[in-house]
Amino acid sequence: MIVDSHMHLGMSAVTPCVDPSIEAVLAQMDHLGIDVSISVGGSSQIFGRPEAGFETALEAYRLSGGRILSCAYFNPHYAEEDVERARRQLEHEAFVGIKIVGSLTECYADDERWHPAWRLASEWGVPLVVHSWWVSDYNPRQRYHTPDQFERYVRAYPEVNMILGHAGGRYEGHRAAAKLARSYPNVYMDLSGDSYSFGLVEWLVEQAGADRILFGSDLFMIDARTVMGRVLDADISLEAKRLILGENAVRLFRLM
Amino acid sequence: MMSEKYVSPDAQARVERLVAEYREQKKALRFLDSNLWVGRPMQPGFCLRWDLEALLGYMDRYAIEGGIVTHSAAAMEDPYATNEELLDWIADQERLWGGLVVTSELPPGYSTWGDYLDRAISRKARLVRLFPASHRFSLERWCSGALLDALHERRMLLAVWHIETGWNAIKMLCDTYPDLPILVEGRPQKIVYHNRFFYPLLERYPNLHLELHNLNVYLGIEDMVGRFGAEHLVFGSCLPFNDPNTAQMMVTAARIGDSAKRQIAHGNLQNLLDGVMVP
Amino acid sequence: MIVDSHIHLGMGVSAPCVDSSVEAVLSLMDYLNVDLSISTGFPLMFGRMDEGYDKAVAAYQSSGGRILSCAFYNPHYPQEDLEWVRRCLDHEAFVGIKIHPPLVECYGHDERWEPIWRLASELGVPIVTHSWWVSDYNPVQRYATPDQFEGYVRAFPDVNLILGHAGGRYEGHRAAARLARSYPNVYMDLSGDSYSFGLVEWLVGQVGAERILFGSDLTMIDGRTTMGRVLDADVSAAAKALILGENAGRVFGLEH
Repeated sequence: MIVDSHMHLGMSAVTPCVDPSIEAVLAQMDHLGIDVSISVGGSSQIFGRPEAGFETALEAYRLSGGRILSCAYFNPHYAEEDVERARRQLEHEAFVGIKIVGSLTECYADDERWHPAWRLASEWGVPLVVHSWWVSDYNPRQRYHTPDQFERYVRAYPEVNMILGHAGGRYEGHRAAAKLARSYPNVYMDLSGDSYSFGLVEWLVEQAGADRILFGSDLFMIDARTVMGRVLDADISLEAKRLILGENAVRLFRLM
Repeated sequence: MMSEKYVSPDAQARVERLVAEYREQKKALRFLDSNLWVGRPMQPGFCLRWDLEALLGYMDRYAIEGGIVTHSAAAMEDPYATNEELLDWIADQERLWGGLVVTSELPPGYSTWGDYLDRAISRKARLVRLFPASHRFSLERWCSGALLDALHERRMLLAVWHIETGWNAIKMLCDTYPDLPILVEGRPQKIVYHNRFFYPLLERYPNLHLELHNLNVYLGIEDMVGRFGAEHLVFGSCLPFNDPNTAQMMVTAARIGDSAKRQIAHGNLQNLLDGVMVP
Repeated sequence: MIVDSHIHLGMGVSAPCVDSSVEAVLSLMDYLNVDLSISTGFPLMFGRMDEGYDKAVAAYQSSGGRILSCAFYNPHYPQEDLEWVRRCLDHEAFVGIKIHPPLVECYGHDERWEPIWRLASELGVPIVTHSWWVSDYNPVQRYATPDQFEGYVRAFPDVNLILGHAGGRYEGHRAAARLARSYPNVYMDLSGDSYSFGLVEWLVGQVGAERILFGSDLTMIDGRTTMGRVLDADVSAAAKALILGENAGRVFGLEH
């Protein structure tokens, strides 16, 4: 099974999108042989229309015959409201994880206000997908979620599997992500986004093991082919590619 | 925690009188607000209720009679879906007009800007917000000409943030679209450091307006009214991001004539709203 | 008594000023019922000590004692400035000491501030510091986040510290409130452009009205933007009286 474990339903004014429709996502999945996609925060969920996002996620699940799944989204500034909504969402089979983003909510990853999200992931036995990156001079908000900041929670919640979205984003971030994954068995990472360094896939497999790495795109923004080609042609074993392209996601998100 | 023992009865009585006077002055000015927001933002600050009912409650509480409201998610998420949701919400609200967010791209399903804007205006939209830096487009004609021509024809209000456009682009807009009312808002940065840009522009362009929520220049309101007239200043609060009293006391306690105060508090915006061509 | 506890006489070239005269300040004070104002003059902050001292004394005299001043300390000139601070505070026009870590690029917790804390303790006057939060568009703000002052606040319990701008932005306000809750010698002022909806009520709830001072940031920012927020806040009249002047009277030892 091939799983795109990191995409977003919807669109954003910030990044023009050719076609944000569910039909276009499905057509591209079919074209590339992707069986299941996981929307880790539809744009409505992330940008402040959580109920509209909930409906979009359910509609995508129905329209796709269960092939497009979703994560609940938690904003720490609306903790009570979002925990309540996440519970409602996780009761539905369309929802398989929880997503959090530090930069958009301007809250550091090690801040105490993230506890409810981790508790919820623990309680429901679902993975927590986090945005991760490294300090960036041209995008300073990336400082809110360098991989090392998650250590506090990774240690406090050993039963919660955390997936570092974008695997730390840039060179030093990849190093920090690999270091965290080597130290804690509940740390995973995905290849989504524009982290296109030559040799990255092979390096991560060697550092953290193929069983910790997940294929992901970053649709509706970034085209999945830029990531899939790098996995298919990587100098790693076929077994490793199978794990990365889907089997890890199946295990973590309990997809059947 | 309060240690009221510190407070002399005289001091308290004086403050009570000042509070009562100030609240009366606010009510008398019948504020009309160009800069209201609804829908929960990603970082809400100290305010935790962002629904329409809450907004109407805040307006009553702070003596704001009516205004133009924008959806908090519109500048980040899908602006066209979000604009529609906003226009649905305000359809039955007599005190509210719609502020849309658009980019230089035509909305899906429309072949001209005129069609989109006419339909939105008939659903009570009166203002458009553009974010050229965040949304990565140019205000020059090669990129946004069709949109700006359509706004110009309809005299729709155009709101911009100075950090999103730069002052040269604002000058170009004033030059190229003389009948387009342009409203500059100091968000997220105050425009206290920008007098040297906007004073020469206010001198030249009657269609340029400054919105008040972050126009906090020391003695600026008297100076600008004295030099350029009250027509250029438009009340806006940025509620519920910002405390509306920031701009309100700049007007109630301005050392300018009563009619100038009324113009700034509501008259100028009412004229701009009345000027929009309704299809 | 109504006290504007945070103004600056003179002008700084980066912020155009309509009228920087003492007469204009007094005229607005009269109009807004402000009895006393406390200034840190721009000449003092920008290194023209003789001029700054003379201007402060002249303002005191021409205002009939209604415009008071803070001395200014730059840690890069410790000997010279300690002498200046002593000389200033010998004169009744001066009632406190101002420090501004971003302006001199020296972190609030740096050991080079120790001499001025010692002197404030010796002279029994408050220290007013600029405080803010990490800012993407104004990176020098990193020198003065409220948490950086904890060491000195603890080491000098007899010195009252006033956090100018109360931490500046949302996370800074949280940090300022945390510090004030932990230490009885921490105060904050409302000057500047910290205009968040609900801020005044939140701060009163967190730290109590007796720790909060009204201030404008003249001659850059107009005091009406802050006075309106205090007058119309959902706090008691007694709380407003404390904020508008009674607290400043106590902390700066003012008589009117």
